[in-house]
Amino acid sequence: MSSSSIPAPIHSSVSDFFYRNSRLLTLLFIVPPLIWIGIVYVGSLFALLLQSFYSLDEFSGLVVHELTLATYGHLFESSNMVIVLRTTVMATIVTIASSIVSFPIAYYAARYAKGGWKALFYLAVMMPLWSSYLVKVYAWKLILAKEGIITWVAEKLHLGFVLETLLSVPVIGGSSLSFSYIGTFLVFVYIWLPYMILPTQAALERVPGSLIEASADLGATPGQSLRTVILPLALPGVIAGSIFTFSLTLGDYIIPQIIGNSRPFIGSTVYALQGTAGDIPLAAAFTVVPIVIMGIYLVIARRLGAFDAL
Amino acid sequence: MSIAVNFQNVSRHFGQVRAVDGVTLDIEEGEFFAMLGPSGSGKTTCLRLIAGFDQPSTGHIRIFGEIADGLPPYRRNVNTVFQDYALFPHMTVGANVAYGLMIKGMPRAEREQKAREALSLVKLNGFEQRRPSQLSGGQRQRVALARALVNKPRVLLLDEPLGALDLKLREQMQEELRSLHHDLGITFVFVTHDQGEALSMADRVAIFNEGRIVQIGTPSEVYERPHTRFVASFVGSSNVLTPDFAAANGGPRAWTSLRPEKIDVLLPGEIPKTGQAIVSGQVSSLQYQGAVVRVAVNVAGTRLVATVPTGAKTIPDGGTVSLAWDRSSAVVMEPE
Amino acid sequence: MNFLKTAIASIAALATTAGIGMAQDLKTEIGPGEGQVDIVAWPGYIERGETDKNYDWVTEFEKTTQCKVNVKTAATSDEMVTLMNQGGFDLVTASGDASLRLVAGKKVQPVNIELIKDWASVDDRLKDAPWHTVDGVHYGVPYQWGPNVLAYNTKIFQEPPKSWSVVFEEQNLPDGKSNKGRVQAFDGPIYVADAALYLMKKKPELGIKNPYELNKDQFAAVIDLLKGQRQLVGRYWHDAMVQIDDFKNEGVVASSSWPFQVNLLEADKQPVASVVPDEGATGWADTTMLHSEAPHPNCAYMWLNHSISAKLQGDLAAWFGSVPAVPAACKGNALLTDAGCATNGFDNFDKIWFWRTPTAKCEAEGNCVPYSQWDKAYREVMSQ
Repeated sequence: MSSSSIPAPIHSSVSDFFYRNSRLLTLLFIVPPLIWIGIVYVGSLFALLLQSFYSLDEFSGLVVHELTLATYGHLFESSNMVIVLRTTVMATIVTIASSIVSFPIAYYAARYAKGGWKALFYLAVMMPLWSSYLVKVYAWKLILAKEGIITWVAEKLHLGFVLETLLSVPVIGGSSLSFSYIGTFLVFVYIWLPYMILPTQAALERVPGSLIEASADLGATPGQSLRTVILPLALPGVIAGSIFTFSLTLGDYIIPQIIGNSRPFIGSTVYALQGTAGDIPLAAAFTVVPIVIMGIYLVIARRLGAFDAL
Repeated sequence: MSIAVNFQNVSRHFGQVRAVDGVTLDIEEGEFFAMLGPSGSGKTTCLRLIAGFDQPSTGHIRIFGEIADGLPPYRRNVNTVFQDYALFPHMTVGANVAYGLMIKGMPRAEREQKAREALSLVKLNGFEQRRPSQLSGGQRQRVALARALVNKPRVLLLDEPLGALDLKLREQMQEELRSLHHDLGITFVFVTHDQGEALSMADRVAIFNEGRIVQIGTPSEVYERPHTRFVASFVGSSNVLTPDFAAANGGPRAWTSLRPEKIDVLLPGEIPKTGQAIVSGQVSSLQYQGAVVRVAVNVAGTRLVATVPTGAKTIPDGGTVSLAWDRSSAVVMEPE
Repeated sequence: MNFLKTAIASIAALATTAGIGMAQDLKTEIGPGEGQVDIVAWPGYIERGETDKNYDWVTEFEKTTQCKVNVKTAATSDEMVTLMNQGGFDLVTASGDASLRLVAGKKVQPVNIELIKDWASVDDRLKDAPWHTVDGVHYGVPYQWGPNVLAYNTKIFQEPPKSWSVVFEEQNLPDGKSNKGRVQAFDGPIYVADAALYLMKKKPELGIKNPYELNKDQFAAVIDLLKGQRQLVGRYWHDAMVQIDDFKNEGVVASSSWPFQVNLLEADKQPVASVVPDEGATGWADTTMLHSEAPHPNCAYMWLNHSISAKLQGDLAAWFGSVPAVPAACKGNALLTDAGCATNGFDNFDKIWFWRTPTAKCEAEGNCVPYSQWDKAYREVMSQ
């Protein structure tokens, strides 16, 4: 009996077929997610864009399904641009602060933490992501309240005046931390921090230790190594993280409603427009704003060479 | 000649592991010094101790007479060529080479000039604007070399710098490193696990095993007169004769090293030279190696290896041959 | 092509059937229950004794009717409208600013009051209220109502404040300190009506007749008042539980509020009480409405009947701090007590302007500022 007469098992002939036609296999794997992205993601985005070219009939409060730029005209009214500006400034400051706070944590985790400590680090960074976002925000409200933990500690340390000086600063101050921009800022930074730490840490982990040794070997003090080698190489990670923190802050609508002075942000405005007001076109136009801002941001980041080391 | 690097009973422990264990060593100024040993023998740790990436657990290191205890790498006038080259991927080749000068605060035009000179020294003229990722392994190696040399270090440390290159390139670089060393006249400390490389390039070789230096000497000393069985077998894979075997064949009752090329293989009928020791046995394997043929012979249970120039004689596989050597070729080693 | 024709024909047939279905002839009898009823409700409106076992008006209903009650709570009127638009629910406890939108959007169907056996017991003031009765057709059964009260800290105010001015105009409170940063206002355009109500008495020369019907000049004056208020308000309230926390921990001493928060704060031994000031108050009146495509209409009708039982109405009023839609509930309810209805504002009905959606078409002036303008202007106020 010759070996060729043994029939090949079906599954192996299927494997063989795909082995010889590996492109077909790739196609089979990639088509479902492509359809998903195409229809669900791009489709809904397109629907959104389309909505922003409709307008609201002010008399009846109904959406007029005719293409117009009137809604964008409304968007550029100063009362709305103030909201855009406020949100962008907040998102920028939150992003800068998160990157500053994250860097040492990420650096420690990437360079020094080993084994169990590393696991502990991931746990500590990820754990806040497991609990409910709302619970965290409410917890922060209690921490920042006028009669909350921070005020209490400050008073015990006889530092109440520091807090009061801080809160008396115009614009960012308020009657308490949780009633001020400072509070909104602190909670934003806390909530989005993991999204900054993880990519920064991943980028730092890809920097070979020998590069840092090389710069020290060539005479660079730790500070010079940080500036000339570590930071530039960590930049793609920091940029990735900043895309998260920046866009998440641009779009968030819960935190400004619970912590802060009730001045509207893009997210809370969209929430109010699509809900209370039923002004879907303006809501859609508002949601285009973060998309445009992120686009500009990415172009600038690219110009600055943030993606060169990718 | 002054002493460039001095190790005084230096140890480096990582927990229970003694990576370096009581090393005492002098490296002379201008010397091409190789540290040779298998991986994990402590040679790279010693290099890192000189560079300052690591500090001794006990003992002291002096660099040009100055105690280097606790001195960070950026305060030492030594530079390193890393095994993986460690070129900065976000900088051009020119910026990589000029890096050390930039850190020192040298004006741009001046440091660019120096970088160009250093690159021409390693035959990479005109590569300033390239990125490290656009270079071949050999080119990266040269950039790493230029980056270190541009700082005019008094000691250049090289950590297995040729390990990742193919044979042809490696031989070429060996030659270039020798001539660079000759031209610059600075001290080279070279770490390698390749005994051929160490022997061919270095003025002196320190052989490491298990954190200790087992022998220091010129290449011919360590090759010809290995002190220990470890050196004998690691450097040039010598035949190591047991005391009994050595005594039975006219030597002293001690561990003895006998280099394969020192053994004559005699076919039946051939006569040994006068005064030679002679044994006979059965050929157990023949291995063609280009210029020579390695012949393994089973002599009453002891395996001896000899090399015969290719084409000199036809040795029958499995046949009986005699092995003969000058008694002076059998090197008595220290008991271990 | 034949296939296509058939397909088109069947789609057309389906559409016709659906059309007939949407026209909805009034139900004439309550059939056997479908086993469940799905309700969109305000938090605290439908209790099954899980928070406090004394407050349970679901368990008994489920036992007698075999209709399992599923509740989806909604925090805002807009959320209710959104949920109802999505469909899949039978009933919704809609406030006046949502009910007419639901009627206009054809998301709710008329209710046959012949099938509501206790309809006669419903408060006469609510039977034909305009927020659920359109052209004489009833789109639901009144559930509860209540005023948007002025909540205040009793340690600061020995006497209840007589006017809403404590939250609208900068002044020193009885403790000698300014009200700046210590008062709150509602975070929603509907609050414009509260300011309009205040100006109705404060500046009669503006000629405001109805706080939900404002002409351009009146509206401008109201918005000016609100811009002044922005300087006094540290944060606007949006979520009832957040406001409770603000009274406890943030030094808030006066704000528009709901009896719900005041009751919870009182239960927590906080020095908080409420009042309807001389100007009157805005308020809410909720109606249980039936979804136009309710999947369980029989159980829904059973719940509608149950929802106006005196026991449920009294218990709910005690729980939520609201006023029953059935006056009979005010007497002999252990939880509410005989004083309860008065406390919660039963006699204030005439002083209350119930929430409704302002539209451009209005009786008073014929040309009023519509809700979309309220929304935009209020956003500007908050943004200042």
